[in-house]
Amino acid sequence: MLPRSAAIRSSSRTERGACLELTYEDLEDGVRCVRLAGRMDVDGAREIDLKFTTLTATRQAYVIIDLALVDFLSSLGLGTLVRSAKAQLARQGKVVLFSPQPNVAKVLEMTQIDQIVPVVYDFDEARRTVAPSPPSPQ
Amino acid sequence: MAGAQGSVRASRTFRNDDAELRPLSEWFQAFAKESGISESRALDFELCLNELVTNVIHYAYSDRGRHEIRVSLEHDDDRVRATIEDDGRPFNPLEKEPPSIPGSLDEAGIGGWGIPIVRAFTDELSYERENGRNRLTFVFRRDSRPE
Repeated sequence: MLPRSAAIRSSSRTERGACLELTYEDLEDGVRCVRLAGRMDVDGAREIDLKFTTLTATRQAYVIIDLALVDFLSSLGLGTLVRSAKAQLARQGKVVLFSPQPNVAKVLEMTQIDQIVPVVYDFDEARRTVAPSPPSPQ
Repeated sequence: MAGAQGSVRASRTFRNDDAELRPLSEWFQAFAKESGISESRALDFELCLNELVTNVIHYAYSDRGRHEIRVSLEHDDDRVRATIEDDGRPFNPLEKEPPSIPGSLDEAGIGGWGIPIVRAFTDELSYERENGRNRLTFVFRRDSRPE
């Protein structure tokens, strides 16, 4: 596994001026890391909706959604996360939720979403969990 | 904010507009700080308040008119209580069938998580309809959440 800093390929964009900030990186192993920072409430979920859907749901992808800097997750924000995970299930991709803060983790736990979408706290484990399988030898 | 006999109370009116949800949160956070509610308890309470007022804004009104939603808060040694009043159509969210816990991602719904979240976090949750108004009250008891 390459060091995290060396694994960043090129793409990194930020939606600024919003209460929920979105950045992403495409890593060398085919994994996309989408980082969210701020409040994932009604306004926050709407602010990032189009970009988030484009990055995580419109084509097959292996996505780590980094929640470490999300300090509030409402039901609408939860729906946004579940929608992407379902889209990737349908496309044979995968979504993993990374490092939620305790109050956000509690929402995932109480709704039992953590039972159907993996939640991990170690970045390398997140990459292993979500990474595409190498092709089988012929 | 008013206080008497060890309790702190506040009330404020919000419009039926999503733009009011962040002012609602900021107002509650100031109340929580003023009345000494712990940060983790305040975050859970704020989430419930946000979910229930969002429900009123999105589902209580069939017209596009401006309506007022009254939110009252009370904190004393034993509990924190919020009451949300609106003049929308009769709607008891507690009667709504909660979504079943999904057995798989394939079965999971995208919406409908608001009331289940509120049910899971609150110690008491009640609904009344009186004089053409809906009144929802929820309580966090101190003894159920060690600080």
